Amino acid sequence: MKARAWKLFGAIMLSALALGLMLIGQPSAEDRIAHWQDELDQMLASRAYHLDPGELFTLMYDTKIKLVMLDVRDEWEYNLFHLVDAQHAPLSKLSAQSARQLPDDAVTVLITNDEQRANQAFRLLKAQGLKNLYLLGGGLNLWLDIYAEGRIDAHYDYTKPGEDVLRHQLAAAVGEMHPAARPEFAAAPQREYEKKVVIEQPGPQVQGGCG
Amino acid sequence: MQTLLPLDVLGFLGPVGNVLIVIALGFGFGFVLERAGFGDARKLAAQFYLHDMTVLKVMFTAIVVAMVLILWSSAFQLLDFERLWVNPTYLGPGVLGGLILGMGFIIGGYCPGTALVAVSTLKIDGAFFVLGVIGGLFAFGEVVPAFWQFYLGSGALGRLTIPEWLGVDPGLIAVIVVAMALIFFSAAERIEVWAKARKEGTP
Repeated sequence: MKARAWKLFGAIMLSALALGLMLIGQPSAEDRIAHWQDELDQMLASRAYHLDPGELFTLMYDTKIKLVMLDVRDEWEYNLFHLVDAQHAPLSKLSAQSARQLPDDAVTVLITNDEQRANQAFRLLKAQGLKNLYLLGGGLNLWLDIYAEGRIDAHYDYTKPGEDVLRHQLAAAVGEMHPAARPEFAAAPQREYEKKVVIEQPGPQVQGGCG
Repeated sequence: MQTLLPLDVLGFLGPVGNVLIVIALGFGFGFVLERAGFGDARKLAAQFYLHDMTVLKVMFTAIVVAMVLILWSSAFQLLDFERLWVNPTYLGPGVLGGLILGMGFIIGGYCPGTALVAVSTLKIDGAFFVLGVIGGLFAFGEVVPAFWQFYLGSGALGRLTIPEWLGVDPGLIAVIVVAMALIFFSAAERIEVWAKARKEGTP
């Protein structure tokens, strides 16, 4: 009788816990962003994850590093101009699933015209736990200042962020055909920058099971 | 920016501490299996002849309790579910491998983990089973290039869970799995009574 009472107690507890799970649900991407709000704000405010264009340029030619560039702008902006090998991943289509599909051992750099949409994408993907995530400081506007106009000392005043639109006028939608989409390594202006990429190795993946 | 769980044991305790934790968990798991009677091939094989459904009850209880605790921890953001290892799905190899392992289980009376439990209590049949497992591993390693395409490319769906596959909330799956467990437990006990009566020749 005692064993029967324990079984009944266990069954009721498990059923109640399972029903409770159905009622409260699992945290959404928005919930996770809200949960990590302070940490995400600090990360972005520290500018430790905003890469200088000079560093991204170096990464593009670094064969030892797996580089993933995500262009988070809309399709028409991507068609207008984008960096060679940058994948189109508009902010509106990014989700928790996107973070899962990105490799943890790669350096992922988010790109937009200025910084706003890249900042939003950073919050979304970082809240899902994606490692080695960075964004292009000053966006493509600063990139084009340097590699299209040759303004080697151009800088981005992050205290006065601009609108997330391309300042540079392009005659046509050139995509990655523009010379600044992947400047020649030897011919490109060499720029001094503060190195920020620190590769965090993915945690050990332990397989389990009764076997 | 990390949740409390899964614990970063490697970060806290270093490689040596990590190994010690693994040994302690392995010992604990083996101890529980042994105490549940899973170091005895007769008890394990009895599952397939419906005489003793302990394996179903113990394993399914472990699964539902772990599932409920993991999902509750994730719901309160104590656990980052994305950082938990989920075996990648390979449909074809999974089905074929399950059938082979099941046949081996019925014939040998153990699965690989319980065979190690049997060895720890010096059971000779367990030791022979472990030798068979090691031999099987070696043979598999030698022949796997011949069916590499099937092994790694057949129904490869990556890290996939049932809620993701069906596109429903994990809580709903938890309710269904718990309901299934309770139905199976109840049925298992009735089957045990029926099998015992049949064995003893009582109507």
